Amino acid sequence: MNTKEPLSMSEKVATGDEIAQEIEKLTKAEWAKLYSFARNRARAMALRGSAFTERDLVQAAIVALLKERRHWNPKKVDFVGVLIGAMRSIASNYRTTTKDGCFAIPESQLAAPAGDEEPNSLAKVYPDSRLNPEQAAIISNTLSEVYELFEDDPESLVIMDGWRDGMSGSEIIDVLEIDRKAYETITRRIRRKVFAHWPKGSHHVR
Amino acid sequence: MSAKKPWTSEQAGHALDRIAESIEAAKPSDIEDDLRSAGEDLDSVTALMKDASLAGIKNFRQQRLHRARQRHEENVSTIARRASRIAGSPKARREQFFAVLKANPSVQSALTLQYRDLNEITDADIETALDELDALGALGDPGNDE
Repeated sequence: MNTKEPLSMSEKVATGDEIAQEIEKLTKAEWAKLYSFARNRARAMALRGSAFTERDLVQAAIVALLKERRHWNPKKVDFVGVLIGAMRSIASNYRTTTKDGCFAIPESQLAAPAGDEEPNSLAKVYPDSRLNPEQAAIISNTLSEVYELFEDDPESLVIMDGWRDGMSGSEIIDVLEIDRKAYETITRRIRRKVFAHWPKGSHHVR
Repeated sequence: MSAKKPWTSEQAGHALDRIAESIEAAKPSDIEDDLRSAGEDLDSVTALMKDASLAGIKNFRQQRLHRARQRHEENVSTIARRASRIAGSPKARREQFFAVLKANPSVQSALTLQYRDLNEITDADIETALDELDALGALGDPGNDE
């Protein structure tokens, strides 16, 4: 195998055929989880001017798995976990790349390369001083609208206050002196409201 | 409470990060229920994600094909460049070989050591020697085929 470090017996580099097999095995519930995560990360990227959709992100994650020959231990992480990790990494790298103000168009939305240009990048990143304010405003407004829906639910409001101020889940748990389960229960209420507020049918921000 | 105050992009980003963590930690069946209760069409969601994932594999394979084609074109180009510098027939290669030696006495003395009698050198040896001379850049001008 063409890897820099020797693999343990339980660790492997997935091939296209193996990934295709894993794709066929996924359940509807697992696709729902991948979709929700991809949509969330695509929204986070859109706040910084990205044109990525959830579809683009999952496609880019598969390409990254194959191209980067990532090691994967199926006993420790299931395929959903591997894909989520790859999407998280793409979104995080995008955030780093765009710190100085850029916007990205996914490869799938670009015209096919001509001549010798190799289609090897997941996205083309262009420097840009404007961060697509309209798109960012739509996402921010959705979250502030959801916040207002919790007028009669102070637990949810206080957790959203913590999120808005950049606090981590653990910090909120400590400050509110609640346990992880209680935090997750409240978080789920918020998550469901946010899901209900994202536009349906369209797989773009708008 | 500042309910009416619009959120900034940074604040929205923080909230999305926390929601992403909650999605990652949740059981798939819980997320499925959440999406269903939000009015999402789960068959459509499944089809969308599956199609995108399979497109990712296809995309990667197309990139590999593209790279393989580039390598092939480079090889063809290398062979073509060689063909333009090394003569095509044994007789012409022998003439080219001795012409190169005549123009480069230092090369001749090195090859004399290697082959002893250059007049008895075989066609195969000449072809090998021309390949080596080409690699060394000693065949500047294109060779004549005949």
